[in-house]
Amino acid sequence: MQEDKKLKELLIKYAVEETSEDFTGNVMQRIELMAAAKTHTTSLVKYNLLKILLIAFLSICVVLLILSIFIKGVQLPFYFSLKLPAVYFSQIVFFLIAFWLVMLINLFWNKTHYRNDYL
Amino acid sequence: MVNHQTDELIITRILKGDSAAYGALVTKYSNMVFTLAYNIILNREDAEEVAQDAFLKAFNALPSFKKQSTFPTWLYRIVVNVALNKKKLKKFIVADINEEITTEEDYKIYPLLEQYESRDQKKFIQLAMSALREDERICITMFYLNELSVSEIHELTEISVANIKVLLHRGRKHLYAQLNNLLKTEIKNLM
Repeated sequence: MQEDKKLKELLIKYAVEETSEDFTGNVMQRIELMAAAKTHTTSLVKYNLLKILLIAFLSICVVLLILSIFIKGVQLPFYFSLKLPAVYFSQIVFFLIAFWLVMLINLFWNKTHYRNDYL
Repeated sequence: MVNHQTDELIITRILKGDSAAYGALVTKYSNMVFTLAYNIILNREDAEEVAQDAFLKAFNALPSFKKQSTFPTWLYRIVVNVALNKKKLKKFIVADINEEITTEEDYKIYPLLEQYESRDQKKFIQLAMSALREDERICITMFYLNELSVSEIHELTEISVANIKVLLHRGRKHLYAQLNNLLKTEIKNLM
């Protein structure tokens, strides 16, 4: 036990490696740079606002879908003269679906990536 | 205990927005973090990079520091993860250990070592340490230098408690043997 203590003292005295002189300065500089980068890349739209917009969009979609079941033979209040082929509409619908799908995946990815970034 | 209380005070200040206070923690633990990284990597430049990255990751993760362990133990866990990533390993590789723990260890080196100047003693110790097997060197570093308990080393390295005890015993034995050889060679050279 005494010898174990002696070995510990010996190792602490001689086996501790020393960093370069500017080590602390370098670390603190990197932290400052990181903080600066973070402030520059902060989203203009706050996360909560984005969440509210998403919820609003989804609720409107659901309401419109429910209404479409009950409302039959709707006459548009304006004359829609632009005659687009049906394929254009399906393309627009598919684009919207793909856009929101990618948007949701991106939101989910950012959230999990931020959580797992540290350890 | 006082040291850990100081750490907690510094951490509280950092979490309140005083990020410059982190410099005190970096200064305090830089050598120990670097020593651990160096003994895993065995390359000064890479070890310094690992130590810096570990401090950066620790700074970012400070809000998630639960105080279930002390700050240095938590920090060393980050160092081990960063060093393993650097080595592209998922965990430490330990060779089969079939050696039983015996009580015989060579303590004759102390009087021999004390005949040399501090600078030479440091050189011998560092040479002997770097000549150890990787698993033995890491266990010796964590136990004696980072002052981690066997169970903490087990948590950090995923090496079983029984194997850590054997590695510590074997590491000590090999360290003494290496020092003995180095000192004998030095004496022969002087003669």
